[in-house]
Parts: sequence; structure tokens; C-alpha cells
Amino acid sequence: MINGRGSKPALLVILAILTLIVLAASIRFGAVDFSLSDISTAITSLFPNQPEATLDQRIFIELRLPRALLCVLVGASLGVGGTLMQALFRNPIVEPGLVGTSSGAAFGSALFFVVGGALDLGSSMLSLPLAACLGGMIATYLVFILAKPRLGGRASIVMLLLTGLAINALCMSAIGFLTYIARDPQARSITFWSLGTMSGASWRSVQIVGVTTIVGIIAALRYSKQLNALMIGEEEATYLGVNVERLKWIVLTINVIIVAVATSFVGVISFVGLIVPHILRMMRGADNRFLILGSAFMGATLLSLADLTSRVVIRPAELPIGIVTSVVGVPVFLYLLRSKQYIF
Amino acid sequence: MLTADNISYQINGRVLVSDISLSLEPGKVHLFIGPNGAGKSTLVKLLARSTRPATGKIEYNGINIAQTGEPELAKHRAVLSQAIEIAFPLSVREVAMMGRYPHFSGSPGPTDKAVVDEMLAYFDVKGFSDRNYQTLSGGERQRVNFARVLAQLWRHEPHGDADGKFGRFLFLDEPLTFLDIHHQIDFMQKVRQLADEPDMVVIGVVHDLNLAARFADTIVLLENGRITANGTPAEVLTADTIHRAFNVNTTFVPVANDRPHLIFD
Repeated sequence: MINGRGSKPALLVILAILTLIVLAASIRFGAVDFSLSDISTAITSLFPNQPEATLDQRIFIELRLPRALLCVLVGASLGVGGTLMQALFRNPIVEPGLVGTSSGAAFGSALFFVVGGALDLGSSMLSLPLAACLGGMIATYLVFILAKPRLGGRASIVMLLLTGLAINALCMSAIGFLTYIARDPQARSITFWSLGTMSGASWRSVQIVGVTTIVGIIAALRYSKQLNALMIGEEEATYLGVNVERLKWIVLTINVIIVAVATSFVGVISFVGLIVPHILRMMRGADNRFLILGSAFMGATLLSLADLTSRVVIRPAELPIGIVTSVVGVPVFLYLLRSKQYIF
Repeated sequence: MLTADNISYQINGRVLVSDISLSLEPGKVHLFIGPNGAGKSTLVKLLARSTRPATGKIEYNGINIAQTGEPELAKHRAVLSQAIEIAFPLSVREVAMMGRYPHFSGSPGPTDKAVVDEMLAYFDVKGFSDRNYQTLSGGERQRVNFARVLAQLWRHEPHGDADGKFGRFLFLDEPLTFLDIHHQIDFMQKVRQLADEPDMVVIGVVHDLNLAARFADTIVLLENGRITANGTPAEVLTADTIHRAFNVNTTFVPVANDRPHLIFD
């Protein structure tokens, strides 16, 4: 029996409502708590002919609100990225953080921070996400090319994870090197951000990540049927009319773009992409159309919760969000490795 | 009609299929037999175009399939492989519905749902259509996959519609693995019935020579990537050819329907 045979649309509605509730909580609570009247006056102050916003209201508009929204978008991206990777490699323990995408994107961004400033590339607001995409793409494709057996055939999951480990280590030490040679403010932002942080959120990042997340999810949904067919094997998918090589290339690219752009603004956040599809599969099975939509909502919810936690546990200071997701994610990962439910 | 014209295939310098020409008629069951490594599965993959031949041409009803797109081909050609494993939990119905993927975009329509229901019932697996495929036995899985493959080839109008000129091609790559004797015979009887549809070409690989003798219209014997015999069961399954191909001695038991029954010494 597929565990919990309830309706998929109903669960999606519940997940969407949960996302909104957590978003509301994430807007209200943090280093400073805002009451509902604070929030409403802050929002009305944006309209013309209203009294000038107070400092608190400006904090709300300029910091809190974009941060909460960015969190939702990044969480959705990471959740969908995990679903796509797992569908593509037919394996429940693959996620963007493990196959080089996140660390490659982090390396691309760090390189941009340190070298881009010197080369005066910082003028366009798209430079940073582009550098991250490029880094993420190179690292991910490198992992897949190197993990492929020399005599052809499919990359084994062990090869994939070990190669990912190596490329991750390479990217991380390159980031370490950049931190070492960087000037102090750059170095601090690189360090904080290789642990994952939402503190750099701005309306600009919300716009950019918003576009890639929404376009990425819509594009991914178009391929959900083909990804389902892939579950029964590459050859079988071909017999069902899927051009497998093309599908792999497209889905990998969608994944790299959504994850790398998110990473370029918030740093490396692991394990969201791993946990979310797993929980959803336990609830309603592995249909990818459901998983893509569900992992967008659930990823958004979980990351917002993690961000809220990181803001309130040691307030007024805050934890890097990547630490929170790792503390929750590592046990889940180990459980998955040891569970008999999946075939490796 | 499926025709193959001088097809060859090699990998890493090893020739797996060499210069094969075949003509397989619709409305019949064509079974490939041969010793291990003779190239039976490779030939099925080539004819179903999951692998492309190095040389030669394959045509479905006169249409060269080298140029046909995957989605178009999938409407007319289905393949039942052995032992399909799925790494993720999917329900039996979801697996069977995959057979309709070439026929709809977006969500399945009423026809697709009706076809899947009918096929699940036909293969006696409708009772657990909500069960997780991963929890099924090998035999149950094979029946679900057969339901999927037939759903893929199912058609309102068996012939005469716009797609009819293309024909339908069903490939069975050692489909009887994991099936008990009752389901083996039941399965082959269903295959037999399918071949009564006038546009259906059924091509399969089987190991059991008696099942081949009982259910095939034509038997193709492969050895070392070449066809060494091709004809009716009575023509191909002789003591000489079997001894040459498999190195066993055979005694023939006469049975009523003019098909040989074999006992191996």
C-alpha cells in the first residue's frame, strides 16, 4: 500500500496553507517582534499621502519582509531541485548539495566577490547569479562526467556520491583560499555564506530568485510525466516515447539554474532538497507532478521554519541557517542510507 | 509487417548481430530462440529501436524507423522487458498508466483511465491497483507491466484509422521469467489472442522450447548473431537443428495439434 492513500490535491492545498502560516509567523517574529498593527501601518506607509515610515517600519519593509519572502523562494527552489535530482538519478539520496551544484555555485559567487570587484564586473545586478550559475553548472557537469564508468553505462550512485564529495571538497578549499586572500569584509561575507545565511536578503534578490524559482517550477512540471517514465528505467522510458538524453540535459539545467541562483544569494544550504521529497513520497507516493508542487510548498515551509529558528534561538544574534538545516538533515540522511526501503 | 534488411550491430569490436534480414507478418506470433549469447535480446532491441544498428534498415509497414521520433514510435511500438524494478513507491495503477503517456499530454483523459482499468482487470491485478508496486512479487509485477504495455498499444479502432497504416508492434523480451507455470500459459494465451488482431506484429524471445513450439506461428533460431533457421515450429524444431544449436538430444512426443512436443535427454 502506498502509505497514506489520501488525495494528492488536498495535501497540496494543506501544504500551501502551511506555507502561508509559516510565512506570516516568519514576518512577525525575529530579533524584533512586530505586532499586526505595526505590520499594517508599515505596509500602508508605502502608499502615497501617508505619514513617513518610522525606523521600525523601515526595518520591516527593507529587511524582514524581503527576508521572509526570499526564504520561501529559496526553500521552494531547493525542494524542487532535490526532487528533480532524485527523479533524474532514480535515487532518494541525491540532492544538489551532494553532487557539487551548491558548492560550485558558492565557489562561483565567492570568486565574483573577490575577483569581480577588482575587475569591476559588479555593475550589473545579474552578475552574481550568473557567476553562481556558471560555477554550479561546471561543478555539477564535472561530477557527472567524472562519475560515469569509463566503458559507458550509467553512473553508479557510489561513484556519484564519492565524485561529488571530491568536487565539493575542491570547491570548499577554493573558497577557503579566496577567503584567505580576500580583504576582511569580503572574507566575512564568504565565511558566513558558505554556512548559509538569509541575512543578505533584499528586494532585488527576491525579484531575481522569484523569477528563476517560478519559471523553473513551471518548466519542471512540463517534464514530470517524462520523469515518471524514467522511474521504470532509461530503456523503458525510451519505449514510452521519452528522449532520455535530452530529458537529462534539460532537467539538470533547470535544477542547476534554480539552485545556483538561490545559492548565489543565501549561500550553501544543504539537506532541504534531500528531506522534502522523501517526506512527500512517504505520504503520497512518487508521482513527480505531485512531488514537484509539493516539494515547492514543503521546501518553502521547512526553510522558513529553519530561518525563524535561526533568528529566535539566540536573539538578538542569529545562527547561520545552513547549520540549522544540517542539524535536522544529517540524521534524516543517515536514516535513509540505512533504510531498507530503497535499492541502491 | 516488420522488415529488417541486412542489419548488423557490434560493440567494442564484438559482433552481436550480423547481417540479419527478416520479414515478420502481422497477425502472427514470432518467437526467437537460441543459446545464450546468440544475440536474441540484441536483435529485439534493434528491431524495437532502443539500439540503432550499425548498418542496415528496419521498416514498420514500409516506414523506415530510423527517422521516426520517439513519441510517434511509442504510439505503435511497445516492449515488455523482464524484471522491472522501481526505486520509488508508485501504485500499480500509476505504473500501468505510464502505458498511456504517449497518448495524452497533461492529465489522463477518460479513455486513458478506462483502458488502464480494463487492462488491470484483464491481467487480474485490478484488486490491488492501489498497492505499492515495490511490494509485489515478481510474477505480479510482470502482470502489471504487461497491462502497461498493452495499454500503450490499445486502440479504439483496431485498424482503418489514421494510425492504422503504421501497424502495432509488440516486443516481448523473455517475458516469462518469474511467472509460475499457470501464469506462463495464461500469458502466452493472451499473447496468442493479441496476435489475432490483424495489424499486430508480436515478436518475442523465449527460452522454453516447448512453449515456443506450442504458441509460435514462426520460430527464428539464432546462433552467433546469425539466423540459422526460420519457419514454422515443425520446420525449425527438428532433432538436428536443436542438437546443433543447443548440443542436446531430443525425443519428440506426438501431440494432437500438429505441434512438436520435446523431451530432452
